[in-house]
Amino acid sequence: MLRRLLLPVILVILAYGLWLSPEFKEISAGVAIFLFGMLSLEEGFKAFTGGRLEGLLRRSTDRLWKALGFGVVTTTLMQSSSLVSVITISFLSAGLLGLAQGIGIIYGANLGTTTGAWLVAGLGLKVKIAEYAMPMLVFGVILLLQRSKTLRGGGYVLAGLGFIFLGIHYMKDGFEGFRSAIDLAQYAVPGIQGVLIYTLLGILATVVMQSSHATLVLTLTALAAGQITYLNALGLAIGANVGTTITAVLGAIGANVEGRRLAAAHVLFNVVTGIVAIVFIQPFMVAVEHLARWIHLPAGDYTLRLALFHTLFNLVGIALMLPFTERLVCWLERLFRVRRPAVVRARYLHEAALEVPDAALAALRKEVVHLFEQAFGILAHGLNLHRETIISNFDLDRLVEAPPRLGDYDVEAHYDLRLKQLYSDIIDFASRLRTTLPEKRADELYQLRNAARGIVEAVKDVKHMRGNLVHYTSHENPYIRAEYNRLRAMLAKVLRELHRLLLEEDADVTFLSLDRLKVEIREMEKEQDERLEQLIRARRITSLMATSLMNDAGYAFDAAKALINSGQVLYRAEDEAEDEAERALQLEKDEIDRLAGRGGTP
Amino acid sequence: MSRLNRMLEKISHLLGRKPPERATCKQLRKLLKRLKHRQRELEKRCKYTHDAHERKRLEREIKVIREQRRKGVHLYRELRK
Repeated sequence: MLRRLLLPVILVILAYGLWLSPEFKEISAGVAIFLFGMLSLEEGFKAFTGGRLEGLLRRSTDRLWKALGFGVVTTTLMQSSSLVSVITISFLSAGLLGLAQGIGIIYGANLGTTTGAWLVAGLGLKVKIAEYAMPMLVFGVILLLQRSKTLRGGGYVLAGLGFIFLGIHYMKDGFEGFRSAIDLAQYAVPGIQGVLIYTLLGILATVVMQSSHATLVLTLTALAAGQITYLNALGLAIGANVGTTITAVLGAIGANVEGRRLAAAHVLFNVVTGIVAIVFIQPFMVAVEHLARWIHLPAGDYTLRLALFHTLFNLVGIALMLPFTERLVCWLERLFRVRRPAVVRARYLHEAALEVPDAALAALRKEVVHLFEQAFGILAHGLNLHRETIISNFDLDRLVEAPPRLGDYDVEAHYDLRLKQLYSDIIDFASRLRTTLPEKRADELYQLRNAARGIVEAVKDVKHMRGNLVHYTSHENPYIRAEYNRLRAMLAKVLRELHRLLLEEDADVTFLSLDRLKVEIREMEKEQDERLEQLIRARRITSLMATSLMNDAGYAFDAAKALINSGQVLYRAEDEAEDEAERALQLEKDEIDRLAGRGGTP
Repeated sequence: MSRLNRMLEKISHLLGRKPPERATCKQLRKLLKRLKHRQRELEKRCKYTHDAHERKRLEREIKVIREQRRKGVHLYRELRK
């Protein structure tokens, strides 16, 4: 109800203000143009970096200090902590970043965003910024009309900067005009009371505009025009810092529990930093004065002092919170627990992951591995084996000869419970991702979707053969028993190898080990054909047994091949170059056939 | 390539990432060395194995590694050119 009322109320107040005062109109237009510029800038950086930013994020955040540095550098370069925090949340949701690293980035982004105040106070208010805005807008719009994605991205960035400069110019002019009409400084509230009131105003303004940059620029221009006091401006800066967390909170709504943990850490960091800044406002002001003299800031330039204060209290906040990051992670993990539903659903596929193609594809890959993890149990039990038996190092050829114990296992029911919904989530996510994914990445998406299909088909194959498998593995005829046990052992070996490859961290298995498995399967197919003929000829098995075996062997070999193909798609070496090298050495089908003695070019 | 992309590339290079081809070449050499080592190890094991089943398994693995190495050496030479 309140939310529904908020927008009309804001619109009415704005309309009244615009009608009442031409200066207010100019300032509001300045803020609107500035915000539009920010949006354009973000859009430009999204298109401009074309996955490189995400790649960099993945590689350069393995340590907390690196994550912190990444946050500072990227936010300084892009002047948008919102974009950095949204990308961080999407990577965290996709499981590509640890919570501690994510928190490091957020700390860094808080520090990086303070450079904006320096730029505006140091340049924006000192030079005639609008003169630069016009050519930027002209060139930006021309580039925007180009076909090339990079040029279009550059156009967005240029136009964005143009609008930002233009917005600052209008805000500056608006406050200058105010000075001759009314003096807003007479509404200044002195002392700590003033800091508190203006902090609340700063929070409110940032929540409404969803940009701490806009609040800060507004504060700086008002301060430069002498419309607010320095102390009240400090309160507004603190408020802007707290209010900016709204973007992360909104971003976390579509994210999973990891994203929500990060948003909570963001809120906590900014609130704690804000409280520290309010409580120690006097020592901070003294420190700012000392530092200002030390770095030779012009006396009486309060806009630069405000920028210094903004940087200083964020730095203090980082120094205070950084040593407690590990504890904070533990606390957040306890606070936001992962709930396990009865029906298995997607773990990594969330709206937030869809925002960034790299993150979305990585999330999809992890989800298909999750699908394999679920299918592993069903396949193991479907073969009348325990998961632990397959994961162990025991000889599977001998283990399958032990009497089976899982006769009443219902593959169909477990498929419904653990795979069906998960598979649907994967397909749904893949379809939605296809609409936003660049053409060159589409192949990767299809491969992942096919990998998921391969895993599900393998489960269906095992379901089809399970009836006969249960029947013949406890049959009195030793020949048919041995044949079915061979099929079980073969599938169990595939599962063991894939489990080591995809789910165990320090396993002595590489992508290339799968080639050996492929050769073994081809050899087995050939041997099985020959053995089957001999068994029929020697009347060791009945014709009924033979047809069942032929059908089930088909299912088993299909399942094994589908699983190996899926494994090859899902496997990723830690290093991109290592992955590329391994894939280059992978054997082709005719090479496998030749090694298995089934023809192929010599 | 845009200036920002070039800059990001430079940053990632500073952070320890090499240009793709050079990195692949180096990785390929490392991988070939690893495969050679594995092959030697398997050949040694095969020599002292009397179990026919185990021997067959080892021989199969050696055969596959040999083929992968042959392919890798060829590719490495191409890349070096």
